[in-house]
Amino acid sequence: MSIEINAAVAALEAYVPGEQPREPGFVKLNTNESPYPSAPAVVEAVHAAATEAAFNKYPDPASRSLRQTIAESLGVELGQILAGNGSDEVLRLVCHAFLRPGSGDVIGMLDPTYVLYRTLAEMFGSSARTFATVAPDYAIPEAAYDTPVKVFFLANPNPPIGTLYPLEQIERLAADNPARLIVVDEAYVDFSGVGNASISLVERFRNVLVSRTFSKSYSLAGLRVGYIVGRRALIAEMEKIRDSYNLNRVSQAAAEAAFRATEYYADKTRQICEDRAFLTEALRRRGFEVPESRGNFVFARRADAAELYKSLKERKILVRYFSAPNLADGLRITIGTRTEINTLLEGLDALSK
Amino acid sequence: MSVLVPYRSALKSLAPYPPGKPIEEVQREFGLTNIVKLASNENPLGPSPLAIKALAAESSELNLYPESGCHYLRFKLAEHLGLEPNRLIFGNGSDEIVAMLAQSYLGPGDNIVISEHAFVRYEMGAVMMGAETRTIARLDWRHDPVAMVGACDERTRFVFVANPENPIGSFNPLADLERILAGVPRTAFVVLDEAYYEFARQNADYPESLQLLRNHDNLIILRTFSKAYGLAGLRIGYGIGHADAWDPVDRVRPPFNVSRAAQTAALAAMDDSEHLQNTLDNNARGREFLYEELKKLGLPYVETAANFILIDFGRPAMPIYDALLRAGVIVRPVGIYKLPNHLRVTIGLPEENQIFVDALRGVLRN
Repeated sequence: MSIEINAAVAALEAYVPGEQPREPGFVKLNTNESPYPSAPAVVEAVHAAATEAAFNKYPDPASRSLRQTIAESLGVELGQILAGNGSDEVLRLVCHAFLRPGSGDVIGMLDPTYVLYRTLAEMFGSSARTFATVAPDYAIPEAAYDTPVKVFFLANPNPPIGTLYPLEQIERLAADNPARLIVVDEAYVDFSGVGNASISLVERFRNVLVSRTFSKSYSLAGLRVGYIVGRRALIAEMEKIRDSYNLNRVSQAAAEAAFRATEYYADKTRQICEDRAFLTEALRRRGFEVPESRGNFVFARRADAAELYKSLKERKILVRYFSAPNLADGLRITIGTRTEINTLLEGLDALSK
Repeated sequence: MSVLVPYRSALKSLAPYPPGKPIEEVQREFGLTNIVKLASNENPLGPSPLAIKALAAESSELNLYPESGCHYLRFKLAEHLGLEPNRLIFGNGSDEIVAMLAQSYLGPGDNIVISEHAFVRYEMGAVMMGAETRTIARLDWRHDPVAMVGACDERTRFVFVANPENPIGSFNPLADLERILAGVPRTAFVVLDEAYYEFARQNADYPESLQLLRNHDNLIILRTFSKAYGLAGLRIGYGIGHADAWDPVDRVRPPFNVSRAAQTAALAAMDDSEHLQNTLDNNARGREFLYEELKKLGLPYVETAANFILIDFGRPAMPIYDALLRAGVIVRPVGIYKLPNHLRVTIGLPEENQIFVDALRGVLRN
C-alpha cells in the first residue's frame, strides 16, 4: 500500500473499548452497561418494528418522533436536539464541526476522564490539553477555567471515578469565555440524582451543549442511540455533516419507547444506586479506597489492582483496568445485579485467602 | 444573541444531504392516505422473512454493546465471498464507510476524482475534509476511464467509480475497470461502489470485481444490505479491500458503529436466497414493464442495471415531480445531480409500477 494517510489519522491510536467476551458464563462488569433488560414496552417496540417489516425502507432521516418526544420532555425545541448513532457519533460531530484543522484549535478535558475525547480531537487535527484532577475530591483545577481551549469536554459524572461537578462550576466554565464551547457529556447523569438541571444551561448560555445516551440507564447499548441538546445555531452546523440516515428504524422506535417507560427505568436506576452504595461499602471493608461515585460504576483503588484484574478474569469476572499512571492502582467496576456483585465479592474474598 | 463559536470553514459551502421525502411527510403535506414511494431504491418486497424472525427474537441482550467489528457477520461474509476476514470493514450503512475513508485519507491539498452526476456523498466527504473534487464528463452515461485516469495526480486519493452509478443505472465493463486500475497512480484508491451489485450481476457483461483485488492493493469495493437485501432501515454496509487499507479507517471508526439489530438481521438475510431471488425476479419484470410503458409515453430513459430507472423529460422535471406527489407517487428529483430534466423512479411491485405509470400518464396529459 502506497497511499498516504491523513496525517492526523496516521498518528492516531484507536479508542480501545472494553472487552466483549464471546464465550458464555462471564460476569461482565467492565463496560458500564446496565445489567437489566429492556422495559417490556421496548421489547414490544422492537418486535413491532421487526414484524411490521418496514425495515426495507430507509428510516426517518430526522428521527423526528424520537426527538419530538425528548424535546417535549426537556422543554426545548425540536431544532435544539440532534440524535445520533450513540453519543460517540454526536461527540464526533462536535469535533468535526467546531475544530478547525490547521488553526491550532485545542480541546480541554479533565484527567482522568473518557479518553475518547482525545481520540476524536486528534482525528480532526487538534490536540488535547488535560487538567489533572486528584483525590480526595477530584475538583476541576483553576487553570481549566481560564486556559483558552476551543472545546471543553466535561463528563458529568466523570468516569472512571464518578465525580459529579455542581452546576455552578459548569456555569463558570461557560461564562469565563463565550467563544469556548462547553460540552457536558451526561452519559451517566441518570445515576447522579441531578435530573435535567443542566438543560437550563443550554437556555442561558449560547456555548453549552449537553450530550446524553440510551446506552447506560436505558439499557440500550446494543442499539446505539445518543443525542445532544444545544442552541439551534450550534445544532444546525452539526446537522450539515450528519449522515442523513444515521439512526436505524429499530433504534429510533426502541429509544422512544424507552424514553416513555419512565417508571421502569427509574426503578432500575434506584436499584443501581442502592447497589452502588452497597458495593462501595463492601469494597472499602476489603481495603479498597473508593471515592464517591455518582455513575453506574465505582473506581476501587488497591495496590494489587493489576494482578486482581487478571485473577478475576481467570474466574470469568470482567472488570476494567486502565494502565495510565493515575489509574493503574485501581479497577473500574460496573454496578451489576446484586447477584453479580456478590459473585465479584466472593471472587475477591477467595483471592485474598 | 448569536453563537460566537467559530466552525470549520469547509462547512460554509455545505448543505445537508436532502434524502427522499418520507411517506409520512407527504401524507401530512397533501392529506393523502395511499402513497406509493418509488424514491429511495428500497426493496419493494420488504425485508427477508428470515431477517424479520431473527430481529423479532432479538430483545434479550439490547442492554449489551454490539460486536465492535461485526465478528460473526465478518466470518460468515468472508466465507461467502471467499476472502480473508480482515479484508472486510462494516459501517452504519456504506455511507459511513465513504465518510470514514474521507476522514482517513483526505486533507487540504488532496483531491478526489468522480464522474459528473455522481452520488453526492463522495463530494460531500471531500468538502468536509477540505479536499478538492475533480469532476469528469461522461461518455454516453458511462464513466470515461481515460479522462478519469488523466485527471489524477500525486495528490489524488480516491477515484470513485460507482458501478452501476446512482442515479443513472449504467455500468462499465471489466475492460474499463482494468484500464482505470492500470492508469490510476498507486497513491490513490479506486473505490468501486457496488451498492446495486446483486441486481447488476444479472447482466452477463457486469464485471465480477473481486477477482481484481488479487492484483490491485489500491482497489476498494463497497456493498450494502440496504438494496437487494432489503435492510435499508437498519443501516449496514460493508467495504472490501486490502487489510492495510482498513487500518486507518478502523482507527477513526466509532467502536460500536453497527447496531445489534443490523448485525442480527444481516446474518439472517444472508441465508435467505429465496427472498433474494424473488427480489431479482420482481425487479427484472418491473424493469421490462416500465421500459415498455415509457416507450409508449415517448419518454427516453437510461438502460438500467440497478433497481431504478432514470427518465428524461426533456424539460424541467420539478413540475412533473410535484404533480406526481399530489397524485400520491413519490419519485426522486435529481436536480442535485445536475440532471434538472430527469426523474429517478425505483422499480416497485407490479401494482406500484402500474400506479406510477397511470399517474404519470395523467400528469403528462394535463
